Amino acid sequence: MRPACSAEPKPLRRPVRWGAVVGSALAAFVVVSGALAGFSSLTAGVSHTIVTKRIFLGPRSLAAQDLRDASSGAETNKSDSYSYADGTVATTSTAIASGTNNYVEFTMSSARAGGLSVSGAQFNFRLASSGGAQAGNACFWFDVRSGGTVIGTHGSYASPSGCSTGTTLTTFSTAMAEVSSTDRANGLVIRAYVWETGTKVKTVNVDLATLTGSTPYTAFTAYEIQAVDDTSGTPATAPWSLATVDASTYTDTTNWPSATPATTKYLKLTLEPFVPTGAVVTAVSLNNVWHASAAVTNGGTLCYYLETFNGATSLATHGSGASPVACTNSGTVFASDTVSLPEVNDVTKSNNLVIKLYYWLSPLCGGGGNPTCVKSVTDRAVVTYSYYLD
Amino acid sequence: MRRQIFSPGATSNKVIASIALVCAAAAIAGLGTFATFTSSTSTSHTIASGTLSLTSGPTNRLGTGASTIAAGDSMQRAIDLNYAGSISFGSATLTTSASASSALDTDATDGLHIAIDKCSVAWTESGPPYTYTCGGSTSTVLASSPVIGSNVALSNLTLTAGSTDHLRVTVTLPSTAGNTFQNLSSTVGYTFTGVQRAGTSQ
Repeated sequence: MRPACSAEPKPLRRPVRWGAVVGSALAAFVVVSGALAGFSSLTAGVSHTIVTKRIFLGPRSLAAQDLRDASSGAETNKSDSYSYADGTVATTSTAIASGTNNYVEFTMSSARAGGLSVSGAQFNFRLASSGGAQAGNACFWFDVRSGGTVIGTHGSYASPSGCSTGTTLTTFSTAMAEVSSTDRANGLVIRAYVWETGTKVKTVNVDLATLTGSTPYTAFTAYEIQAVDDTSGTPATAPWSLATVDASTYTDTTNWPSATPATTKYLKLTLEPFVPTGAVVTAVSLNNVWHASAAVTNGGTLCYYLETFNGATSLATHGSGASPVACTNSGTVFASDTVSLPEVNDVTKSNNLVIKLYYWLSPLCGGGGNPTCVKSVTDRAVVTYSYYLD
Repeated sequence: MRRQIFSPGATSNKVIASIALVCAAAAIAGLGTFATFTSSTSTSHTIASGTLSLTSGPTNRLGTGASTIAAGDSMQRAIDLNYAGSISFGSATLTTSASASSALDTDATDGLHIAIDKCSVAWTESGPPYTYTCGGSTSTVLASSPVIGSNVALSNLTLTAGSTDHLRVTVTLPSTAGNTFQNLSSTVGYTFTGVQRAGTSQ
């Protein structure tokens, strides 16, 4: 007898269908898993650590801020007036009162290795009234600029960053937390709004404008390479004469000797310490950009050789009275000499580097038929240090 | 007209029958997969599975790190990959990861890059710092690529059971790496993985 084909009620048909679906899926999974299985093997657990240098190798250039002129045979201090608290001041071009928004502005050097953190950054500003009848005090506030943007403001006309009393030069050191990296410190621009409080407004003397701070590896002082005096309302730019190739130059005070150089007559460049302890110095060179103060006639030339020192200890000479580093007879065209200084090969020598440039007129000067004795004009005296720090 | 009769007992039987049918199908399919392990002839033979083993050494400098590297620097490390099992490999990949991480391994552009090449004979080592020269022929196993990668395919490997590939791993910090890469540290782990060859008639 044929079984009856019965139609099941819905509540029972659904489990049957789900049972079929799940069973089919399970079967398919088992089959496919079996088909895709394969052997694999791995070798693992090999690792290594890679550490980069603390400071990558690179050239860092520094102008001599300390310049001594011994062309007369006796040294005179011709250093940058803003770089040292030495009483050698720069006076604002114009008497300036509070609230003018006129300023003096300083662009700092870019000698520090990039990419480092900076702590304890300070602006060190030393100023005083230039004095005179009814003079008062000198005050200032300032803003800080990096990459063309104001990154910090310190004080105001109502709340100055500092005021010196009378003509007594006073140093004010103001913390600048915003200068948190060497990338900001390099080329930092500080605009100081100075004023004089006298009933008859006076000019202001500025003796010092520096940036100090520390990287993880060394403390540093950054000096200005360009100052702008806007106290009149019209900015006047005054680069440090030895920092860059521009219209700002240094002419020594006395004509150089005839025929042979004299070890007592020189220009002396003292470089600031800035290479971190432990660094490896791979190359040091001097770039001297110069010409004669007037054309040297009658077959004569102005020549020089140089000597390097570790502080007061001679390291080496480059050239001599018989074999100059370079000569020129031009009173207008700058010669650019780059002299390698391989003897400056470690941190100590780098941080105590002194260079004397001995000039003379060859074959001789003065007197009938001979070239006229001349001075030298220096446009750039910059030392470049290549170093890294492991 | 035939009446449709509702019978609880009959329904249960049908459910059981359905599941049994599906399970039977699955069992048949499974049996099909393992069919080669059985024999229906009067003779007999043994089928044994092979082994697949990827090992390193005896040369293995990959665990040697490098300190105080600079932009433009590279480090070379040799490692031998042995296909020690009885089955040849079909392919191999490299997976790298950083357990101590920095921009050295996260910056795919200016961070560390890895390249691997192979020498037909053992590399001749000098140093430290280690450098290697090949007395035979060289071929590229992995072109320069960011140091961190997952299951990166390796090319030109021998992969044959019982053979060895002599590899030189070169890790480079590109010269474009700027000052932000100063004073960084990364620890990179390397895992080579081999997969068996495709199945063949035996």
